Amino acid sequence: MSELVSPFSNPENAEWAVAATRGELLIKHCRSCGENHYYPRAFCPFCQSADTEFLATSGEGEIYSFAITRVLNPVIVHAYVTLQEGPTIMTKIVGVDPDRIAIGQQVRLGFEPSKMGFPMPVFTPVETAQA
Amino acid sequence: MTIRDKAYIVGAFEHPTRKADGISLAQLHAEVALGAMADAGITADMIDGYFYSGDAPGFGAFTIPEYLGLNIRHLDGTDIGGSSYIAHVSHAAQAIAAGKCSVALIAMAGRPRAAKVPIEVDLAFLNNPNIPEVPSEFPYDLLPVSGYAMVAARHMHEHGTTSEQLAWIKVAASHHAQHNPHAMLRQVVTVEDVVNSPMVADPLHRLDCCVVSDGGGAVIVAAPEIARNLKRPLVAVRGGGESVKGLNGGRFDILTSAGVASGNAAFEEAGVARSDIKYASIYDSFTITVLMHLEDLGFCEKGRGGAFVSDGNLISGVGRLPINTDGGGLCNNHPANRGGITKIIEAVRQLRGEAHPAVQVPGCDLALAHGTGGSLGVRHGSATLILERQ
Repeated sequence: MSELVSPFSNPENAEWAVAATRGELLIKHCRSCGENHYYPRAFCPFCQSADTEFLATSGEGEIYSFAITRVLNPVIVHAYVTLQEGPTIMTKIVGVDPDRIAIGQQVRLGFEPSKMGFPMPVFTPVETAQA
Repeated sequence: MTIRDKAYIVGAFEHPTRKADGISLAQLHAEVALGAMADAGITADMIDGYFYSGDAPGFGAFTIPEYLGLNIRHLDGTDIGGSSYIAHVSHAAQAIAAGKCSVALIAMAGRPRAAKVPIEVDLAFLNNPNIPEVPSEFPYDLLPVSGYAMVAARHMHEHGTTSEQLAWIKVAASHHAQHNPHAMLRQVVTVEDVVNSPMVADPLHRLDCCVVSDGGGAVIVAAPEIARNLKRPLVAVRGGGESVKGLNGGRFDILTSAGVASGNAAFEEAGVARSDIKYASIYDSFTITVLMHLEDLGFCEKGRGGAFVSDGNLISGVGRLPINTDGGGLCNNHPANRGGITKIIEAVRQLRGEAHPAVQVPGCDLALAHGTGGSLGVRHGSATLILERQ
């Protein structure tokens, strides 16, 4: 078992938290039903099997929805991103003018320091990243 | 077994305060409980069931019954956020039908304004790392409004819904609130007022959001033989349903709420059609909350909510489906960020013919109350209730 990197990491998600420190986003794959899920947990939420493993993601995804939370300072763009591997995850969109963000945009994974002691996955539109 | 006609709402009381300076939380709870008892014409010694939720001080059941001197033989502390109290009515009817109690008190109260506690502090207990979803969500600082804004953004993307259509929901609430002397926001607003108000979380504006208020309310649910001996109009519990929905391992449709399941269950139990409903209390934490629920409860097709709410269709005396004739959470009251109790209370007023004359629905014999608690954009519980004047 990986060492716990923060009070917000636990025996169930320790590998996920440690992977984040090296810039990798892990999700869970169920060997029993073949489905992927997120957040990572000990049991598959689709078939309840305990036969699950961590799966490294490509870091490619698409914006499912987003909100420009202007009452926060600095402004945060909250979002759901659908990963190429299937699950839609809660995240943020960074590194782009919020007014240029749209649902359906292709985005790429990055990481940002968080108050939990390990970095959290965030996403940037691909066009912006290449510009 | 069904709860249909097994229990009646015999008392209802909404606290008049919207800012509870100089009054404690326990006092507020006692005042709403005593207010509902007085409305029903019952005494405290008749109450043998107590229904409470996360707003109750202390360890729920231990505190308020002792404070008020109640003798309780049936307890239920179901907490699905703001919709808890709507589920409580259904649970109380079940308990009464099973003989576990005969007169149930459902009470809620809170004072976030007077206590000056910001909602993120109030909800800080949700950041416990033992909650399995917390590590993957908490660090993003998602505000309640942000989750609802993501629902609105997706609805606009898939169905072409506009900010102007959402604004009509606030406009309807303000038309009703002008007649309610206790409402926090009594000024009638226009679509332009709403869409020109500052953005809080795009695409939701300040006027797409509900008020934050102190206060609370209570209802009394009683067995049929007791209800018939009281002097109040008979408001029967005809059907109820509840459900929860979350992110489902990352496979979810943000435009389908738990209201689909809770609504279907309630309508099936009640044995009535959507078109039979004369008045509806629809949870309105944000304008998008109402639009989603009107669709999910089957009052219009999914995606047609924008057209359905437009042009005053929700205004009493003007439109086809009057909702939230007290001004709702958007203009009247959203006590302790938990608006379910006020949804029940206004439905009871309508069924008794005791709503303000300017908003009373003529011949209102069948009403619906629907709530959602938690976040529609993340995970939430829903409860639906169908009530009948007999």
